[in-house]
Amino acid sequence: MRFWHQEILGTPFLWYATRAAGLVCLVLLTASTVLGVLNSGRLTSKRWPRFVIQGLHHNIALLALAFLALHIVTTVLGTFTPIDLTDAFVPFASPYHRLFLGLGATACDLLLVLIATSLVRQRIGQRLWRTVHWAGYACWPVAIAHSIGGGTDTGKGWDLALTLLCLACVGASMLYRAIRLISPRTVP
Amino acid sequence: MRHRDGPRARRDNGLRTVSILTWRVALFSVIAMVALTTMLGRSG
Repeated sequence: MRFWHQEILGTPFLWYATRAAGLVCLVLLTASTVLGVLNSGRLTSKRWPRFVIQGLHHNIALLALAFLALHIVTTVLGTFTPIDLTDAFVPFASPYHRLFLGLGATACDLLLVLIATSLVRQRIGQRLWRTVHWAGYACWPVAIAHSIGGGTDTGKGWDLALTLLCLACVGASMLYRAIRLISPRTVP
Repeated sequence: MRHRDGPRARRDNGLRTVSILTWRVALFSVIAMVALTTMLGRSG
């Protein structure tokens, strides 16, 4: 006699859900990174004041964390890959796709540190928070590398288009930030 | 009307915008997740 959860674990449903959650998480992480970079470049307008951009950056990062949790849970519960919970948090511990799974675990740890320090920002002080938040610039490219190198759908056109779109969005926001850094500040 | 344009009203409007957009992104993400899972399941 098989129970309903054994039926689900035995089918590739969780494997499809893992891949879908990973892609949605990557898009959300990209959106949060873009908003964070734009906010640090002091992008503001009457309709989009800085606290709105900052609030969205924060909330979308939390959403990305929720989908990351889904990505990890469906991977660990599924029987399609030999990945356990430790492999999701300890980088390069698993012999299965050691490099790219390790990069995924690194991105996961960095995101957890980023969100945890942001939640206790008032307590740890602005300087330490800012120093740790620079890790955000490492989290996103590591997640992209995990997606490209370890993704099952990497060779497919739609996945390539999505990855290129993510790269273009972050690239454009970085360019905006760089232009803001080198241009003289104007007082509104 | 002063209360409509004051800093407090702007702040309230901004917070409402953050809330509405967050819920929209969350809803869109769930729909995307379900659609992708279905699409991957069909393509195998």
